[in-house]
Amino acid sequence: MALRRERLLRNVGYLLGALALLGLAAFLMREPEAPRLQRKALEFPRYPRSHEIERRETRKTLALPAPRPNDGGATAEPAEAEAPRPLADPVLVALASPDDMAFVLEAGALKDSPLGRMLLACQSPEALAEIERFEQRSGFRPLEQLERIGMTTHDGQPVMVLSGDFSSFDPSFSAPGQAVTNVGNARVLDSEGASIAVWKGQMLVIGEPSGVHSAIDRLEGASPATASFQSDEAYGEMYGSLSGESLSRLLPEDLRDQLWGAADRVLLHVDATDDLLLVADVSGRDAAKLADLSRAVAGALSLGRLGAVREDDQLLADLLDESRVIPSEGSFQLEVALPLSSVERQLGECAKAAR
Amino acid sequence: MISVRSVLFVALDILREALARRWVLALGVALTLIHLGIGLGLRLDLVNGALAATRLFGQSLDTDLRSADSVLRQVIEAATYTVYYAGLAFGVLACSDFGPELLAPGRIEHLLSLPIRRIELLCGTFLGVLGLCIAGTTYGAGGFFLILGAKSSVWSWRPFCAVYLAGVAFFAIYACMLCAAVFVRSAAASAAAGGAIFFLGILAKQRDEIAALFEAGPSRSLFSTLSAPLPRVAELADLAAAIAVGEPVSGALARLMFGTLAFGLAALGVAAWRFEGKDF
Repeated sequence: MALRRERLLRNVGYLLGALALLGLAAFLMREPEAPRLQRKALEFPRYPRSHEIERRETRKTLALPAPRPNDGGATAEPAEAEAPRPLADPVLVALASPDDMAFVLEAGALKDSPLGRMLLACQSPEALAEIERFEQRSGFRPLEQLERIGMTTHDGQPVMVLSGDFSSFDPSFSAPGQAVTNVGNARVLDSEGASIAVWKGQMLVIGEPSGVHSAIDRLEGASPATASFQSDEAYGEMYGSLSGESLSRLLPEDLRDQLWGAADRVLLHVDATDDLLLVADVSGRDAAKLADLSRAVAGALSLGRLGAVREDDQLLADLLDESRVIPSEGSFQLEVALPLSSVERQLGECAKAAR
Repeated sequence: MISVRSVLFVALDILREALARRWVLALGVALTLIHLGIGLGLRLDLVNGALAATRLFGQSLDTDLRSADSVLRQVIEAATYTVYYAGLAFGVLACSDFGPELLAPGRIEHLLSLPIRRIELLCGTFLGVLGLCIAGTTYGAGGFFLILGAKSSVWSWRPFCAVYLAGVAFFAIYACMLCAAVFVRSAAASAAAGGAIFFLGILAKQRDEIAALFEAGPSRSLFSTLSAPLPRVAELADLAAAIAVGEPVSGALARLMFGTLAFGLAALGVAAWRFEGKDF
């Protein structure tokens, strides 16, 4: 009888233990957060988004000179003379230098992006004071009035083209004694090494005098614009075009030789709406050289990533982690991504608060 | 007190019995053939650490050029999910008759005549089958990841460790299978119980979405209460994949693991209660 009772008690103990364990299991597995913190799929800037197409069209405000009757060697028909003058984006016209390099940074859009907010929040008090002093002297508030920053070269010398609201900008603020002359719709301040021009109160051109005057001539229709890139290639928060020769000057020595002669043109697009995503379209005529180049670039990225991991350079390792080269006929695409979280980690607490 | 020595004795006996079976030999041969196939058929062309071309049995698989370990991450992720789910499904089918065999007339009487307590017999059988499952996982997954490492020169211990989360899920599943076998001495019933827990454990990931389909009130509360302790098979698979590819995992790992183990121990407790009270 006692044995039977002991057996019963032990058995009840098993059941009670099982019930307690079931309760513990339910408690431990109550509403667990998503077990996997997955990265979302990256959408690289390979084509313009709807708002960028809209933006591109609204920016076409400059009527280019009508095609001349003898342009292209053909005899002009009378109807052609009455054809509407094509409209263009004045910033792209100003950047359309005969040189082979042009870049545009959408400063206004970038400022409102998470990356822009982080960078602004992490400015030192000295830098902010410097911006304030500049605002007082020039009458221009860059954080509110600046829309785009463009860069090109003229005979190898840099020329900067800034767009936005420059109606209150005084070009003589840096050299009060010097006279400002009018060239067409532009107010130009020429000095020995550099010129500053404000065109129609909406664009500021700074650089070596011949480069600035060349840009003004294009805007006034006095000289043709040889666009570095088409307006439909102007998308992303940063975009640009440069020749293989120009790019090779910027690259490390081991890649320079391979790039030379392989790439004719490199088109860049950067999307900064969230993670920083870069797409570079590299095109060239020699398919074999281009294939070699694509393998060399992929190898360099891979070695760079391994090196970054080894040296514990988290930012670079993250940057190269999602990088890849996509070969295609007559060109290849290079994709590089930098997660916003990596930038945030690098910048520190100021970025975390601003995100 | 449970004697560890007696438990291990029974577990080793189960392993010996498994090795004597043809299907274990067939499993070993099948896994070896898969390893050989991958080892001979997979060709990875590496240029400075970047994967320039991938060919499986001569067929090109990928045209993008990217860091070898980035590409292998996708392969490892897919392999981890495959090993996890295929291993569990195979385990449910292959191990369903160990419990009923233990209780087979003639054998159970013989075992009970030995100086081994019933709970030790139950725990020994459970551990033996679990050991068999872990040995199979080690050989299958370990071989695959070793071949991949040798082909790509990218070595990582993570995928190897990750697949052992399948062992945690199988702990809960096989405990239910053994419990079912103690109640109904049938391999089919045992496999059905394992399959049901496997399936419910996958569904448990969508527990909140399913609960929302019930009308608010007692029915939803009942569903939420009954489904709360279910082992999170799918979520453990996600964690295994995250560990394998080196992604950060949330703090849910420990809770899900211990929760699943607690569920398995509860099922074992019910099995022990029934086994102790049963007359043979």
